[in-house]
Amino acid sequence: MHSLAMRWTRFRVKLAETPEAVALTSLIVVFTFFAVAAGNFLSSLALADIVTFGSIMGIIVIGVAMLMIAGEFDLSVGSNFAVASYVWADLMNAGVPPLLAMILAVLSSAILGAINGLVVIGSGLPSFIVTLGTMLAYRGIARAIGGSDFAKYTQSRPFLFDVLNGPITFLNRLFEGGTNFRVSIIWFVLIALLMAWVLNRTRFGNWVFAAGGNPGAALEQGVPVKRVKLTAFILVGVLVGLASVMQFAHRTSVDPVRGEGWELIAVSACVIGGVHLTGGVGTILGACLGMLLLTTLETGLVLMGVSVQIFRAVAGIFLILAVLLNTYLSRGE
Amino acid sequence: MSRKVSMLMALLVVVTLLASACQPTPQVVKETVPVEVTKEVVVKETVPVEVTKEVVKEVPVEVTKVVEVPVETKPGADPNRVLNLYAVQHAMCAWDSFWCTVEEGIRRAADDMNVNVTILGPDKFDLERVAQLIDQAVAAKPDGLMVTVTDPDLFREPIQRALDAGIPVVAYNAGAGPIEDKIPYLTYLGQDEYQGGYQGGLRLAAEGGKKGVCINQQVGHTGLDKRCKGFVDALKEKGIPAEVLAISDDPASSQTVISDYYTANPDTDIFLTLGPNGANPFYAFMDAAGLKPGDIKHGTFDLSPEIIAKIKDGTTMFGIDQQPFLQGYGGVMMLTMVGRYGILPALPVTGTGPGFVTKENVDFVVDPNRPVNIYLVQHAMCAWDSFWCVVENGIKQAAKEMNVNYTLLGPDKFDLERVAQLIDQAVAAKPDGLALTVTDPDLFRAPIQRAIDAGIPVIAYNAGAGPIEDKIPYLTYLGQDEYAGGYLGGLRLAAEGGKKGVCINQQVGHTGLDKRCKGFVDALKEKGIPAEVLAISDDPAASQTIISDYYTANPDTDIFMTLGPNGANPFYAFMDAAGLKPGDIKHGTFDLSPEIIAKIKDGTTMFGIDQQPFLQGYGAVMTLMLKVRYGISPALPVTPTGPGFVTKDNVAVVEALAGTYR
Repeated sequence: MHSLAMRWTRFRVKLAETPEAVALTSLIVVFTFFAVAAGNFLSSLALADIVTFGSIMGIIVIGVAMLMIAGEFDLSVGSNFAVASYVWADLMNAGVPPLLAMILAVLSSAILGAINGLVVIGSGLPSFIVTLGTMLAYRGIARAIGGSDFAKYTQSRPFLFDVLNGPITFLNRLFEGGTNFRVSIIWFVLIALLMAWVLNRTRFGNWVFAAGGNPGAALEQGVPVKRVKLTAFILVGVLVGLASVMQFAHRTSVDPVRGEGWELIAVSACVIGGVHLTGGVGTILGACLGMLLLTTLETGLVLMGVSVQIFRAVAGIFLILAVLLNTYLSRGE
Repeated sequence: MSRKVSMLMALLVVVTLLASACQPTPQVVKETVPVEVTKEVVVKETVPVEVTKEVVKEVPVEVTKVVEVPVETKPGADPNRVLNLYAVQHAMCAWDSFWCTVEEGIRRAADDMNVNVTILGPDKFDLERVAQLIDQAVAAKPDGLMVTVTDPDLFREPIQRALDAGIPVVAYNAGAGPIEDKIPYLTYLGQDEYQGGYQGGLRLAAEGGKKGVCINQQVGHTGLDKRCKGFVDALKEKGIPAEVLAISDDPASSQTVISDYYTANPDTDIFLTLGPNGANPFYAFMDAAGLKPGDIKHGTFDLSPEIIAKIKDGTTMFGIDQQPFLQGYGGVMMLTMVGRYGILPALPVTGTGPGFVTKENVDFVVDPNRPVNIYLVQHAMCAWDSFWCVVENGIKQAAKEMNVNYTLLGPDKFDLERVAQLIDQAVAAKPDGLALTVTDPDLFRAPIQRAIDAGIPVIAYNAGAGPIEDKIPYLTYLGQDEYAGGYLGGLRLAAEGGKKGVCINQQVGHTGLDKRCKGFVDALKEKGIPAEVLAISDDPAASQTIISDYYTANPDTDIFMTLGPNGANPFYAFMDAAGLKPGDIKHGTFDLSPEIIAKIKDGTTMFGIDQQPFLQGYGAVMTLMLKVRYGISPALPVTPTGPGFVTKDNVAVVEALAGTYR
């Protein structure tokens, strides 16, 4: 009996070292449940929907996760997302070549991210408050640029759109008609791999963990905490900009409230994926699994004919359960 | 230790419970079983005419039945199919009360027609989420999909995916129709803005007037501009000058603009406003100018507490309602028609509004359980004309689904005088609604007028031309829109281009047939293809010669439209004689016959246009039921049941259901 308890504790500690364990287990449980309970869930249509929808949000989540590991929040990602789409659409409609316009759009998102970072570092205010403010401010910018109206690109699709987020035709052809795997999935995986590598294998990655885990100690160790955090804020901006242009390349239309509420979904995905709200702990894989869990939940509930209004309730319960489990696993001896 | 394990177990149990709580509960469907069907024959002693009177007494018996969602949906149409429909909309009753009415319409229709509908929408305004919901709904492989086309550019791709997967799609509430939206869905159910302005104008100008003005708070907004155009057209038709006055959404400055206009044009006595933002400054102007109800005539679009108060006190003649209930109800109905009978919506835009709210109906109380007793009078019967069996099946089916009691009257041979008498007899029965065939408007005008004067809602089906052309103020005529049939047929034939088109008309001078040719010629001209009408006769041999001579003189003709078997049969004979193969030319025709069906199958004929008689019967019962229970009036003078296009894709369904549903 005693040895069993010891073994369990050891297993628990091991689990705690892999923060994505809870997210992975939950994802498997949820996936299995829907595979049994929801008609058509195991169809290529539904599965493609999950990864395609998850990929855009996933790119945002990667940035948010890195920033949370560095100990900061960005609640302005949804507003920033809308700004980038509007900038890109308006520039293209004004005759700027798509590629140049895209670079400018992503750049504008990076600048908005940089503003977040500079204000947080300069003022010393909590990033939660600062980005709550810029969430409103950037939303205002998006509305002002858009004139409270839609922005659309109705000319023929440039090749760039397909590079960013076209359908993966050869893959879709292997499955039943209507299957919609899109290029954003490839970008999402590449970005996730790259960022996971940066976090785990580079000095900058170490600095991110240090800056989020214990900034005081990190400073003493010579970690440029402010620069690391500013870089993380800009990275979030860049990733949000990329996600935004990818979605616009697919939908070719944006409305003034695009992205509203996404900031909290991104944070939820990170938390479910084992990223600590206090910083210093977390993985890109975990955050991505958290996002996939949320999209799986959404798609599964729709296929079961459950009211969409219930989704948030279920997502909220999963959030709390995940935090409870993560806290339990990583509890000190 | 064991405590920890049990905690973990407990968590797992909670997750499992949560998951199972979300499992779909089996749907309990209350089925109404017709228990007693009596058929009485009333024989009048003086006149030996048999009136077949069928009384379906329905005793609701509650049968609890679990509807299982079929794993594989059957291809094509099947009258007994359990349908699983999805509705995806950009707003929900949960956070926007307008949508409660739409959702109520969806649920009532689902209940009546015994179909399953899942309503999906975002939990706040989020069009990207709506686009994803469309994709997710497609993944559920439903038998039909209703969508609000709020942003056609955003939704084009997901809707196209649904269409590619063979899912019938209709748009409701938001959209502009498949042509303007550039998405080939079946139809859009919403308000016809031009007709709203036009019919409103006709009402305001009914008693004459000196000058009319349409007060537009957003000149340049397509929908609002259409309303004003309809109004101005209606007044000009009545010989009354009319123009548009631009105001803004700012009430104070708008009041000044209206006041200044009235000072400059003091003979203006007809005013149309396009919503509360026009009506409110207008009311303020009336107060300031000291105008009383009766001094001028005012109508408005939309309803608000102020507008309703002004309708009641007589200041405002009507408020135009888009009838959101009908958008939900009609959407489900159309998808059910497609899924069960292969019956297609006739037009790209199906008007749910204008619905006129006036002093008479402003206090209407909706009662979904109100008993409905209707009479139907038609000039022919299934008993001696098999065409009518399909119409009567539609009547029977709708009455059963909607729990409506009906009495069907008709002569025992073609006898219009007898039909006129039957109308009078039906009126004497004081039904809640009356549907009839207006075979001869002059003969039927007086009896129909008596019904209308008695306050009975009257609609026409199968035969008629609409209240305006027939000069009888009944609500609407359910039948084929002949012009639209020709026009939409022309668009199909010309879709891949062409050199020259000809409409082969066997009865030039016949109003209905001439309209078909006009529609065809207009469609081809729009596509830049010259087209004209070729007159033939009902004599097949002579007609074949005429067609042959025409083709010799115009060898570049490659698009042919015939108006029925009497045009199609000599045309086929001409093709054989001239050695033309399917593919050499394009051919479409009105109506169906065994020959036409065979030619559709072998690819010679692209389509046969069906007036969809089942829908005429079904729609007649439904329209009167909606009027009696929900106060919903048909939006347009003509409610088209056709053109329904029968092509190679659906000809098998039509053939299988021919004689009963098609």
